[in-house]
Amino acid sequence: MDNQRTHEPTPVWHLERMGRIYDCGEDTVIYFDTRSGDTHLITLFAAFLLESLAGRSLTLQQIEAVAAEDTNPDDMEALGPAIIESLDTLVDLDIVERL
Amino acid sequence: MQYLRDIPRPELERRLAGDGVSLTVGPYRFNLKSNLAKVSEGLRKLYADFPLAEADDYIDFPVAIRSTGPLSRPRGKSEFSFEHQRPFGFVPTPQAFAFLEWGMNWCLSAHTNEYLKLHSAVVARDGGAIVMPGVPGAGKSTLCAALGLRGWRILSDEHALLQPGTTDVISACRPVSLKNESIDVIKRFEPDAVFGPESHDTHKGTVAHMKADLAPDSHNTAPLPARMMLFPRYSATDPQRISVRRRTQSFILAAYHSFNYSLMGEAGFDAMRTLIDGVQCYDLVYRDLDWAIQNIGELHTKACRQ
Repeated sequence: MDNQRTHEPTPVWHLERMGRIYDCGEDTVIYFDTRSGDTHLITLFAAFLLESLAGRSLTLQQIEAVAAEDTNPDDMEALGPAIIESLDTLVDLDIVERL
Repeated sequence: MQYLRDIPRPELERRLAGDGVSLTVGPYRFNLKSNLAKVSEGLRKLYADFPLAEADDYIDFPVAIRSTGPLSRPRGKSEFSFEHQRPFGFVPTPQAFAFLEWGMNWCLSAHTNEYLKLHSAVVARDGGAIVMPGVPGAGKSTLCAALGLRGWRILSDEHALLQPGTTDVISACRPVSLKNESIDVIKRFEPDAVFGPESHDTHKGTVAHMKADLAPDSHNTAPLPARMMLFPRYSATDPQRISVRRRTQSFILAAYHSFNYSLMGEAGFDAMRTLIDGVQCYDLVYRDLDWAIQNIGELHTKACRQ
């Protein structure tokens, strides 16, 4: 079993096509998914992740690297868990795919 | 221009039972047919000042509520129809006027998409409109009726018709629908308010409609810019308050209250975004109509100055 686990592919997160964002200066934004036609209220951080993922697939490590550029050094420890929580939400909303 | 009041009562009944009477309702034309005295009575009271459509006008909604047939008529049943559609099936004839109103609402809700349509009351004053979305029972129609009786122009108690790309609303003024306790609340609030026939024991309880075209420009279809979006909620127990509502939350709730936001797709998103960008958004909790009217008036005056 352990052997099998070590050969599992590294998960990647994929956003096929970036939708539309309405940012009116609050800590949440409106995201219009142009693929499904659904409208969502998401956090600013989730919107940042979507923009990072737009049209491509990234591993968690790659996403962390992108997010780290805009993250205060004091918040680095919380970055990983925050990314995973937001990605889980975006996957649950069918906005992002986990491959 | 001719108005429904210009048609003498016997002729009105004859026309309703025959080719129908065609009225202008906001940007639309309805042709109404009915062989029911209660419907004719309701129309005379509540639609007296509605302009009649011109003979060559296109009729958007030919509707009828009639009791016909050898079985339905003796059993006191009637049926609303729009062309070949019968959305409600047979309904009790004493409730016919309420079902005519609901049928006309359904026509607008389900069959027009040139506007972004919100389930919302709309009132206006001083050249600016207030859009008041709300779930049934939130108290939007009661508040709308009270505002109308205190000098505001009622554009609708049910449909905000918004021109995409603008904050402009188009009037589709029709009688205000009141339910149960709200009927007596408004009758006490303004004893001179004009009501149509009451329909008892409907799925919403007792329903009555109030004449809504009380302003001189009630049937003017020129667009009016919305200045505020107000989400009213009646509560007998909570403290009365008006508070700023976040724009993103307002967007989501307004989309939820829309008849065709999803149907419009990206155009709906753009239309809603333009609307939310252009108005101030508030929550209103009220129990006292005079308090609500005073506070709405003050906010509206401020919003119109900005």
